Amino acid sequence: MTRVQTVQTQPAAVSVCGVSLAYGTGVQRRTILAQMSFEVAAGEFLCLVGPSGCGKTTLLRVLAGLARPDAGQVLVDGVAISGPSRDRAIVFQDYSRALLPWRTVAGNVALGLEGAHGGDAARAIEARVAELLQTMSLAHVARHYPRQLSGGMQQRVQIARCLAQAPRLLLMDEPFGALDALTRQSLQDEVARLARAEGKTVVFITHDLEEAIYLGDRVIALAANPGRIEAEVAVEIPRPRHQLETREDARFLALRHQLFGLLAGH
Amino acid sequence: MSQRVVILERLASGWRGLVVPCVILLVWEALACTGQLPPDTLPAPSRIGAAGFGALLDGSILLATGQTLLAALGGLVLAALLGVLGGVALALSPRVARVVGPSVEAMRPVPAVALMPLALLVFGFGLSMEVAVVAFACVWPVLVMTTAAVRGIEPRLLDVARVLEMGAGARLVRIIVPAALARIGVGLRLSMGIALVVAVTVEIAIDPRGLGFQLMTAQQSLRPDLMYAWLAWIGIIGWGLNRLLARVGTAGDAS
Repeated sequence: MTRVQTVQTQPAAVSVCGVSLAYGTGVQRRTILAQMSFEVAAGEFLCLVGPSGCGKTTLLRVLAGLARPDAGQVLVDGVAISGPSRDRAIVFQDYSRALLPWRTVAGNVALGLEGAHGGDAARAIEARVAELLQTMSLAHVARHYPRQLSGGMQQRVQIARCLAQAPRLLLMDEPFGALDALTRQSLQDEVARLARAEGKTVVFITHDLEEAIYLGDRVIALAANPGRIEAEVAVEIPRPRHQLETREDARFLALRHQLFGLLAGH
Repeated sequence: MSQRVVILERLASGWRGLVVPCVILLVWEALACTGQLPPDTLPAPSRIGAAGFGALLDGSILLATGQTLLAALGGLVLAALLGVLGGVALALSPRVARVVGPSVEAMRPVPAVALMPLALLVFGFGLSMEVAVVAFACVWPVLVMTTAAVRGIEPRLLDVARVLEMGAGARLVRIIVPAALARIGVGLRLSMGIALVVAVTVEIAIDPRGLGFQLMTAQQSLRPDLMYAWLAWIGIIGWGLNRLLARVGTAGDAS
């Protein structure tokens, strides 16, 4: 019964090697990603920040294995990926479309566990779902349907489902972009805490510079047309971070100035 | 308490709807009794009621209704199975759509009742012939709605299925069918309406069984009273089925 709970996952290390991708043909052909290369250390929280149209989402789909690059490859622990995997969970921005409207909150979280275990795992799944709902403060809405919840709560459900699949790499595509400021801040703190507690490697995409600095161990700034790496900075602010103090920290402000100048330079 | 008032009001308005038919029946009865109406074409409502009661007592109503509903239901179930499976295949496989799609489009406009002679040759008289014609008529709404529903599934859900490494079976059972179910239900409702019409039509035209055949027999044996009784009963069955569909429909929309 404890089989599911004792699954211990080591965070994955990721190498992106010369990834290029273009859509369309002929004169319409547009390069989305140009020769992109970077590394993500095991257990690292990496934020990618960039303007719209810089290929952030496409890059994340390549990392998830949902899109295939025209050139280059993605290595996870030194092994080239060939498609999607339960090892790499992805939190989509449009939470309302990524949840199953006909399943309850608990049922949506259970989706991440189904099929990964033997036939006698029903009770183990139930226990793990209860645990995840507790972790994401969703226990009181376990029997609700997604449409009955606020946006922030729906995004919590999606994060819980992604944690349920026991990934070694957590990919997040502007997960809080559609939420109000207060909800966003509390979810930022929760994701930062979870990433540390559960030992996940995280690649987090955002267009919000402050969010990137606040969450990241490292921030990579992207430029658009074609999508490429513009700058890369390490965030040397100790954890746990705080919404007020961290954002007033001299190092935070210095990074903000530096990256703002880079991103605004285009 | 207010709910009780609403129910009473609804009942009252329901009764108001019966005023017109009741008046017509009374006038009709009065005219027939005074010999103002030709009894061969417009027998008195009381005679029609007596004939219907007789048919009820000798069991022919029960038998014929069972035969017709079984044929309609059998054809509908067959159509639902073929329509859902075919629709999923058409929507998911571009190859199936290319190879089978044009044939489907060519067969769809063929009136189902025009296939009665063919069905008779293949199956002979009886249930299977009737089921075949009903199924042919009912399969198209289900097929078309299923194809559209599966093609219209939120692509994000298919991404989720891929990331969770679902096989084809799991994807079908956990994502595709539940996501398409509401619109498949619309197709089924359309087909349920068609099923009874086609079943009775087949019985009137060729198959010597069921409600349609009883209707024709009564007419040909110069029993207009009995014929009207069957007609009224077929109307009641159709009305009841329609009410059932409407109820199923609103329940489906609410979920």
